[in-house]
Amino acid sequence: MSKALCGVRADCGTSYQKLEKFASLVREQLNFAPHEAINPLRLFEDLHEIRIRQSDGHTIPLRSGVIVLEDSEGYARYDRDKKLIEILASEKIYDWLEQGHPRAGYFVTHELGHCVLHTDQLIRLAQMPANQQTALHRDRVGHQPFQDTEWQANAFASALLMPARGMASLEKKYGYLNVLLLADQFGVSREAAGYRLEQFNKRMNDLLS
Amino acid sequence: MPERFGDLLRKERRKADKTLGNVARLLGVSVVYLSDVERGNRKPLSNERIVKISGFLETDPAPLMEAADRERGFIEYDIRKARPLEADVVGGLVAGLARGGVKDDQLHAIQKILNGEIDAK
Repeated sequence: MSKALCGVRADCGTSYQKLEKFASLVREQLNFAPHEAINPLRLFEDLHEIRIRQSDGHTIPLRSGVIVLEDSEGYARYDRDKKLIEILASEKIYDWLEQGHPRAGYFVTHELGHCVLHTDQLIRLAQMPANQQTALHRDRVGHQPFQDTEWQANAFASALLMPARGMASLEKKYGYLNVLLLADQFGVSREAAGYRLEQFNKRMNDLLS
Repeated sequence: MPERFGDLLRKERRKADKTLGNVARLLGVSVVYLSDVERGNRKPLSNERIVKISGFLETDPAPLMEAADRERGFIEYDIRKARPLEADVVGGLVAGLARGGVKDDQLHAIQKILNGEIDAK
């Protein structure tokens, strides 16, 4: 949720409006209504139902898995042998998913953002030798927030967890919108709800168009 | 191409609305282990475990067993649990195959009986 840039330069810059549309398409594929809270465990278990498209139009299967990880929550990666993209979560994240911990929902939607938005980059990364991958991650200067892979995945996660259309319908129903209402309705942390509410108030027209 | 054991297991599991955690706890294995099996990074489960899971998922174990056999490259069969006649026939056939003592015409005849093309009587 940090505003500091911590990713690499994405192939394409992306606006909040575009990210909202991508997130809305994913919700449609998974049959989640805009006002409905996403069940992160269900999302993780049913990732194979989401179709990921490369820029050349090819569809790539998406899978989830749980692996032993000591120093990371997990990551998305392209498997060259199986020709699919996987979101791999640590056992701790899977435990949190079963317990309904908001952090786990954020992890899954953030990594899904990488799969949807950075498909070509994940594939290229998988074909690079390890030293080139490290060098790529060290080079984090010279791009704007909207071009940053981590910024994009964060914004996508927010839009997927708390769609602007769902927020607007909540506001209509209750006559107000605040952090507690958002966090409660969408099952997210107060921090994530606060950040999203700030963006929603600033860009409501763009996000709802 | 026939479906991989892991893919089939995941499909049946989600059809029954069960999570990795539900099935891992049923079998007494870790979520990582079960996830590895579904991702094809470990060998398919034993037939005993497949039967247990199938009961839990309320599904037919046969397709899972067939997929597991294909991937293992051998068929799991406990001759100690077989009826005496079954044990004699299967034991005799397997022992004969292992020694290279079963001829093609004999195998064709067995195949025809199994396919119902000729009456065994």
